Amino acid sequence: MSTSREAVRDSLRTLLETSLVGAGLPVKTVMGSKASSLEGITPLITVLSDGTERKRMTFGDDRPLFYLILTTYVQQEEGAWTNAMAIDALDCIEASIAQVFEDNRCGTAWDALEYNGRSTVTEGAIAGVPCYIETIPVLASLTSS
Amino acid sequence: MSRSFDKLATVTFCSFRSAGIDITTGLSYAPVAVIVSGSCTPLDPLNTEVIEQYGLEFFEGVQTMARGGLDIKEGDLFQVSCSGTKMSIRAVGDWYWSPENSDTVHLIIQQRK
Repeated sequence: MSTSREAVRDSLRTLLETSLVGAGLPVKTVMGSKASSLEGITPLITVLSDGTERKRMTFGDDRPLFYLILTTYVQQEEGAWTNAMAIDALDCIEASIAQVFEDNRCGTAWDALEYNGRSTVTEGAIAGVPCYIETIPVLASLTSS
Repeated sequence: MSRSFDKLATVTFCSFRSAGIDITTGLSYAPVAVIVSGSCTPLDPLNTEVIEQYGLEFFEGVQTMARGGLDIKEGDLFQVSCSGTKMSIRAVGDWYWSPENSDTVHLIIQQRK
């Protein structure tokens, strides 16, 4: 059976959770699905599917390219937490994700892990909670299915 | 509170409030429970008048009436039957059935997608 995108997405989610969540680390939650609320879970990273390209390599084998979207949510000002702190946190998390990528170019679930373009920072609100949102396109490729 | 309202308020709810963010780590705290067993009327869809009055064109919501005097604020989270999905309370307003019965609040609640 061909490799499922879910296996790659789950592996990346687990890797980010292991590397970025915990005491002294900058992220509180990593999810493999859409978040319906930000209350109590920010900073949050979601790892979502963005599509697949399966290039034919042999008569019986494809080379899958799995496109994923990482999205970082950092809550904006609330109480003593300021917007300046929030944007600093967003930048810190972006750098932390980059370090994870540099340390895991090859993995058990993929043969190459890389960015698929520039990230984009926007502002938005999830269920009324204002936040900075950074979207990072990612490509995880395998040499065979 | 009138007995008639008590008969209408058949839904149990809990509400939660944001506990803020740790400014040292940047990690948010889990919301804390403020009301653990409130009563309100069954949730109704927002009607056109309410949508226009509160400027709610951009989200889908419901409305309900709850007993007044409770600690409910805009931004709190509302949870039906104290389980399942939490929804955001987007507006809280006093509701006057009559001059004698003013202890009711009108809650506008945002549904989450």
